[in-house]
Amino acid sequence: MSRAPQEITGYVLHRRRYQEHALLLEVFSLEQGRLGLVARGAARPHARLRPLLEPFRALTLRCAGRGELRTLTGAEPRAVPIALGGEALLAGFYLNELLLRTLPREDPHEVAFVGYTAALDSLAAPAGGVAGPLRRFEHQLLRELGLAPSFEVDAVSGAPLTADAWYRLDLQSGPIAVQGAPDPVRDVQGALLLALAQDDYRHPRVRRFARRLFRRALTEHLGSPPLRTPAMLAAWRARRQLVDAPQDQT
Amino acid sequence: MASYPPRLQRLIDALRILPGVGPKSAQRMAFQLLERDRPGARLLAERLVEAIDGIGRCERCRMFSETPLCELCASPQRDGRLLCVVETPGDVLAVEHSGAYRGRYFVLMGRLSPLDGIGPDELQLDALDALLAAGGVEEVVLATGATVEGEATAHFVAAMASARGIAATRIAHGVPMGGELEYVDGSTLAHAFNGRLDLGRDRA
Repeated sequence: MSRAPQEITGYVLHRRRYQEHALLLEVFSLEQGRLGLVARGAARPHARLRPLLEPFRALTLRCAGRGELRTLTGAEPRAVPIALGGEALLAGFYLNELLLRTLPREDPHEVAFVGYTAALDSLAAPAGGVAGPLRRFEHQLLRELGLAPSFEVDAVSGAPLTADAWYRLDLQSGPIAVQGAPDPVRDVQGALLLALAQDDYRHPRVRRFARRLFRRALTEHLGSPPLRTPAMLAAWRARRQLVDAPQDQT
Repeated sequence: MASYPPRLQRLIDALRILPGVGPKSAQRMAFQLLERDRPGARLLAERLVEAIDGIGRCERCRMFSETPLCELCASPQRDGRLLCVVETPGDVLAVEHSGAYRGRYFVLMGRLSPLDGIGPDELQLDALDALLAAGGVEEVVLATGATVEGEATAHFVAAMASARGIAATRIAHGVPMGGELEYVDGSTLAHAFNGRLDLGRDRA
């Protein structure tokens, strides 16, 4: 039972006011997974720590205490801040909501941490678009949670998938080769699943398929209440469409 | 422990709704009012009721107002082509005190916070959209906070403005006046660098 200060690497996922001048931080750390930290005095006007304790910034955090809620004793930036704007910023909130909802506290997930860092970096890349980074992260998180099957081998025969064969996908067990005539609504071609296995989301059909599949898996896993950020992303996109096609809007 | 008379206890409890007032301060305030300044206490009570009954929100900008349109919205001196979007009534006062702005305002009464379930509907952004649709506004100035939520709000409102063919600008974030660069945090400095001004031509 050491009460010595601990140093961790992490991101603030969410923060809210706590009592008069404190912030309650939800942190995602490399070493200890999700943590709750109290930052005393951080909500005061001109508090030195406040600009640092924004989401999407890699930080070195020092904290003291044990158990559910620890006290933040110091924070330093680990890297230059990344700039997220518009859709990428909302996508960042979505990543944070996913982590808050799927991971229990004090359960380290190094792979998810590395994936989260990579996802933020790709969201900040100006050219990329948000779909690729989001699908890659969802896939990684589902695998971490043991909710994504292999998209490379037939769940029954164990044979590698072939690109032009048809499969019926079961989220629990994995793809199973279709005997006889495939049902084009329910069944998918091997090429699509192999693209998922590679996390290759360049093709719009793969993106659409992955979005539905991963969203369904996450929704089933999370139950109620539903995730909040997807609705906001949808509202944002609806506005952008008005911008992209102003002549339709009178 | 001796207990207070019920009325005194109720007063102490009521005072605790004020920010920064815990049980001790509430008790001190109650004693001050009852022991030393009963006329002042009566005045305070009357003023509170007066404010609660008499102050509503401006139907245009949602700022506190005693009239359907607040003073700023009703004033012909203000430039109706500019609309500054802020999070709170306190922000309006801060911008007013700066003296740098002569347009009108829209007070969001919050900011988008996806993780807290505060979305466009909760902020009633439709009211802002209706204001933009009514015409006359040529530039929306986004003066929401320099937090990720403030940034998300700014981007969202900017998209609404663009959809109506209205220009949207974001206030700059930078080095405070009298500030030494050495002590400015990295993200503020990064913003300051991204928003640098040309001193070469126009300002020589």
